Amino acid sequence: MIRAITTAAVAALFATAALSVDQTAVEPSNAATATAGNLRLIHKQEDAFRNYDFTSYHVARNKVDWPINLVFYNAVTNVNIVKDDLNFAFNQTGSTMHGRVSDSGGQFFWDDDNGKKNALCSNPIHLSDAFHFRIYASPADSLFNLKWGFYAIASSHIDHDECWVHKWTGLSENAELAVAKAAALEYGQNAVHIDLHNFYNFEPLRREGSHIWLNDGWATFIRVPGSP
Amino acid sequence: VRLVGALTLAVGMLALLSPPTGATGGGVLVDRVGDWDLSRLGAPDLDPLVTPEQTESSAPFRLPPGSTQGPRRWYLIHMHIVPEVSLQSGSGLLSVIGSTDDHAAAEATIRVSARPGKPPLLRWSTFDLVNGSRKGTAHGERLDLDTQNYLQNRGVRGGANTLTFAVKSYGHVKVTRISVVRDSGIRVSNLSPPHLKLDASIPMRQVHTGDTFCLPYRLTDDGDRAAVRGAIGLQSLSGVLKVVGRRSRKFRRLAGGKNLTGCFHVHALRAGKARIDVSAGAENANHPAVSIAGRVSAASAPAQSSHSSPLASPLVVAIAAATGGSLWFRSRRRVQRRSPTDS
Repeated sequence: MIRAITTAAVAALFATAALSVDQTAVEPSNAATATAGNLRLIHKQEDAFRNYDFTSYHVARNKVDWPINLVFYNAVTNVNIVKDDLNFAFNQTGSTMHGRVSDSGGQFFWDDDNGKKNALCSNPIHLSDAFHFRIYASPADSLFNLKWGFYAIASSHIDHDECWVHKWTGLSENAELAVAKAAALEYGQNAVHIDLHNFYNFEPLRREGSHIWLNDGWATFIRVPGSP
Repeated sequence: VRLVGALTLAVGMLALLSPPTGATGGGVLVDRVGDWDLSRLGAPDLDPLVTPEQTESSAPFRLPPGSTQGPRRWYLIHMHIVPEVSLQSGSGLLSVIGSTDDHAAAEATIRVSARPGKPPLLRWSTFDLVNGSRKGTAHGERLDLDTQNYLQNRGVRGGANTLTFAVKSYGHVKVTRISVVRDSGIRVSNLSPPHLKLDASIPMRQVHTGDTFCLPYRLTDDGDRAAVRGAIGLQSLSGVLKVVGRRSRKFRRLAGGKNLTGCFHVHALRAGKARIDVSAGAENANHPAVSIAGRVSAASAPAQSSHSSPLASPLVVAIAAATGGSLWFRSRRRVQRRSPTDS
């Protein structure tokens, strides 16, 4: 699928998505790792998956990274299809985290992904906010049910000033919006359904270590067409 | 590198298609159980058909008014393709998708790895509700892939529909052609997809520390098709109970209407609240689960020997549920709420 997506459109995508965070407004904690009290299994249709991704191969509230807040559905027969489609906006890769999904053999699997982001080593001189999403599926590289077709789940967050002082990471809700906007450019506005399903991972705005949580708990669904 | 739309591949796909004699506008009416292959849908001879620049082709068909996916009549897509990759192909990914009304239902993914001086390595996979996940590897330039899957719910509607086969290519894959074999098409069936139902419970009785008891289960496929490559497992979610022996049982095939029975052995380590989750699933089926919660009470006599029957134990007294309260184990089914071996 070839569309004329201008550089300005991509720049506007990220300029409007970022939320200015007053760091004094969120209470810092001494937590070394993030914790999420809403960690649970999400059962949708025939399948099941965890509603957060993880920093290690261990399902625990203090091992979560970010909430699952995106679903790419219909024709995601391989996660690389989505990555490639959105490469115009997210052309860098990040560190690897782990998603926990089931759709194969009745068992749960870890799926690793380093995701895609729009900038490396973000900083106030070049670009402060790097928007980063990671996408997960089963070992078959896809999940399938009769309602969503072939799909994959994703988490998202912002890496703010990674190569600078006062760096933080988080604001998943804003990153979700940025990915949704990029997807709207690629797949069309009608393909994006903001906050369609509740994944029960609401996170109020707060700081926990270097994590700044913000997620409304509702996942945005993005329809990937079956044809080029 | 993105090459979709600027494909170097020459894709041979199904050409379409003037309706056959008797068909009205919008294609052939698919109104009976059976195979509606491309010929029956009105397609001419399709194989091979090479059309440079062409990445998709469509065929119209019609369904009777009020058609839905199940519960009595089920619609499937059958995709039989022969992709051919150039010996000079670079590495990349090829995805062939069959869909109705742009609701994807059949997929074949081919990873192409270029090897200097050798034919490319082709690693393919398909995934569907009939056969589950299938994978394979081939050295060469040609594959023959056959897959069928249930249409998405929204891919079935009364009136005019469109069957489409499309190719997406990523990386440096160079395809010679992809043929859609003429036995591809729509299948109408009375067979529902596999659907697993799980029963697991402890007879209403008291459990004391030291008891080792059998937790019986019955996993039934109440769909028509077989569930393939699945498992049933359990997990104790507290330190009160410990699973003794096998925590899971795998199965290769569970035919429609058949069941799988057995039991897991669980040992009560100490008094307190306890919970056990029993769950199951298969590659091509749902993931039912049962959660059993209750309380283990302290033993009033020396602990029972391992693997003793709780009902035969003098410490274990079966009484009516009404008197159970929190001291008694109760089970509640939570269909599709948990899956095995999650930790």
